[in-house]
Amino acid sequence: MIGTDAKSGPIQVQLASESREALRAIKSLASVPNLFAAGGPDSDVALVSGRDLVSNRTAIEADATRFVVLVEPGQLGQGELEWLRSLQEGGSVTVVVASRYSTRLDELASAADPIVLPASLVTARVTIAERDARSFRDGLTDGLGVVRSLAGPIRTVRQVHRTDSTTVIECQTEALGDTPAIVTCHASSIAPHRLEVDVVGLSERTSIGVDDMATASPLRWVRHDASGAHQTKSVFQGGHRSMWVRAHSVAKGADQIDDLAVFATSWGLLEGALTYSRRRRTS
Amino acid sequence: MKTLGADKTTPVPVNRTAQRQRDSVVDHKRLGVGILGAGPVTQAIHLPALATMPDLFSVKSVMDLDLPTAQAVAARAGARATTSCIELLEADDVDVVAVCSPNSVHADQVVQACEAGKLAVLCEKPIAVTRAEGRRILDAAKASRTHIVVGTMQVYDPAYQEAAKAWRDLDESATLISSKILIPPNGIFVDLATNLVAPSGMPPKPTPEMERDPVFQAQRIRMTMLGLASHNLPHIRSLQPTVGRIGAVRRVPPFGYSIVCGDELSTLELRAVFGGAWDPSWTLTAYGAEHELHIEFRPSYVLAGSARAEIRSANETQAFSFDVGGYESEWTHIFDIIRNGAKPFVSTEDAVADLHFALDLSDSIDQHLGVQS
Repeated sequence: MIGTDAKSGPIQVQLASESREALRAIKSLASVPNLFAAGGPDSDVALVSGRDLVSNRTAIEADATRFVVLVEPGQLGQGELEWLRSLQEGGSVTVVVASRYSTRLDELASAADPIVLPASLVTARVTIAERDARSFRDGLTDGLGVVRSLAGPIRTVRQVHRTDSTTVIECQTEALGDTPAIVTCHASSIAPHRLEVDVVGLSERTSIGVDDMATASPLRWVRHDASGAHQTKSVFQGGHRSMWVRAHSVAKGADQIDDLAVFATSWGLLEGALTYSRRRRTS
Repeated sequence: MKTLGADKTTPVPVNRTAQRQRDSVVDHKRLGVGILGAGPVTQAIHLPALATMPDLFSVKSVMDLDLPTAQAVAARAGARATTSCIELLEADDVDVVAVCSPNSVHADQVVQACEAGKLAVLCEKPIAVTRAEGRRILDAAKASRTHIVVGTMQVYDPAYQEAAKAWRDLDESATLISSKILIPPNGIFVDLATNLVAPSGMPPKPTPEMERDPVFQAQRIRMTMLGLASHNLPHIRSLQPTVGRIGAVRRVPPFGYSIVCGDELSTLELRAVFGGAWDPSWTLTAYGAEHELHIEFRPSYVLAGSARAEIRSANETQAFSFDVGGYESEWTHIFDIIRNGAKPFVSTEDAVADLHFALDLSDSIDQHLGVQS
C-alpha cells in the first residue's frame, strides 16, 4: 500500500518500456493528474510491457518499485511470467495486469442489465496491429479477459483455426454451459484495436463493441430484446484511464487483487492450446 | 369563385388505337409467369414484387397441391389455378417458371421447365439437394437454353452488386469472412407482407432425444446449409473459393449453426440463430489487408429496399444503398436477360458450383461430426 494521506500527492510512475502500448498508457497519466505523475527510477510504480520485459528487469527489481503495471501481458514468455510470479510471491512487488478491455467491461457491466447465460451463441472478435505470434497471444488473452469478465473463469481453451492473419479459439466457462465462447483474433491495419462481442440468446442479445484508437473511445453496450434495442449510457473513458484508476485503488489498498494468478491461468490454457495445435500440425 | 373542376378544358378523346398498339407492344414484351408452389414465398415475396412491374410480367398460372390455396393465391393475381405441375408447364402463355415448392422437388421441376422449353426458371434456393441433381439441371438448361436464376435474392441486391464490384476493383483478398444471420421467426415478416393463405398444420418439433442424436444434428445442419446459409454462400464463394478444413461446428437449436472453417490463407465464420425475439440482423463482413466489405442485408419476406453495403478503409467509408432490393432485382434481371440480352449475373454453371460449395461444406461438417453423408 502506498501513502494513505490524501496530501501525499500523486503516485510516481516510471516508464520502463519503449513499446508503443506502454507509451500510450503513460500518456494517459495526464488524464489522472491527481492520482499519478510520471517519475524517475525511484518511483513507486513501474510501467512495463510484456513485449520488452527482459530489458526492463532493473526497473522492476529497483528498491523503490512496489507495484508493477503490466501492459501487453499476453506478450510475456513462460519464463518471464514465472519470474514475475516469484517476485510477487516473495512480496517485493504487486503486479497489476492491464487488460485492454476487461476493466472497462467490468465497470460498464455494473450499469447494464445482466447478460443471461447460457446463450445460443457467444462470440468475441479482437483485432490487433501486428501479425507476430506474441501479438496474437496478447490479443487472444485480451479476448479471454473479455470472456472471463462476462462469463467467469476460463476452464478450457481449444484452437479452432489459424492463418497468418487470424487465430480462432473456443473456450468454456461454467456459466457458458454447453455453448463455448468463440474468440477470434484478427490482424487489421484498418482498426487495429477493435473489440466486438455478441452474446445471443433467443429472448435477448447483448452486443458490445469499441474501436479503441482514440484515448477516450467509449464502449457500446447494447441489449436487444422483444421491446427493441437499449444502449447503456456511454462512458467516455478509455481503457488506459480505467486501468490507472483501478491501479490507484490497488496502490492505495482499496482493492485486493490477484491479477497475475488469474492471468497466468488463462495464459497457461491458451499457450497449451496453441502449442498442442502446433504439434498436431507438424506431426 | 372557382368550383372544383370549373377550369377543366374539354377532355381529350382517348386514342383507342394508340392505346391498343401500346398494349400490344407491352404484351409482346411482357413475360408470362407460372408459379409452382403457392406458399409464403409466393404470397409474401413474388406476387408483391411482380405487382410492382406490370409492364414486365403478368402472372398467368399458380399451381399448388392444395387446391383452395392455389385458387385463393391465383385469384389475387388474376391468374389460373391448378394442382398440376404439367398443366402449368404446358401452358403456352407461361414464359418464366418460378419454382417455390419444397426443396426435394426443386431439381425435378427445374428440369421439367427446361424440357417444356421455358425461357427462364427462377428457382428458390437450393436449386437442388445433390450433385447428381445439379448435373441434370446443367444438362437440361444447356439443351433447352433456359436461363436458370436461383432465388438467393441477396446476390441480386443492387447494393451488394455495386459493393462487390467496388471490392473486386480494389483487388483485395479477404483473410477473414464472417456471415452472421440473426432472425426472428419468419411468420413475423410474412404476416406484415401479406395475408397468408395456408393449409393448417405445422411440422412436429423435434424431441430432446432427436436433438441429442448426432445424425439428426448433422441432418439439421445440412438443411440449414442448403437453406438459410445458401443465401450468402455465393457471396462467400466469390471471396473464398473452397471450404477448406472445418475447425468447429455446433448446431444452434432450433434452426441455427456456428461453424468455423478455412484454409491456410483465410478463415470463414458462419453463424446463425433463428427464432429470436430481437430485431433481425443479417450481416456479411469480409476483412482484407487494407479494406473491409460490410453488408447489412434486409430480412427475408419483406420488400424494404436494398441492403446497406459499405467498403471501409482506415479513414474512409464508401456506402451503397438503393430503393429496391434483391427480390425486385432478380425479376427485373430475368426480364433483362430475356428481352434485352443482358448477361446473367450468375451463370447456370456458377449456380451449380454454388450448390457444390454448399454440399462440400455439408459433407465436411458430416466428416467433422463423424457422421456418414
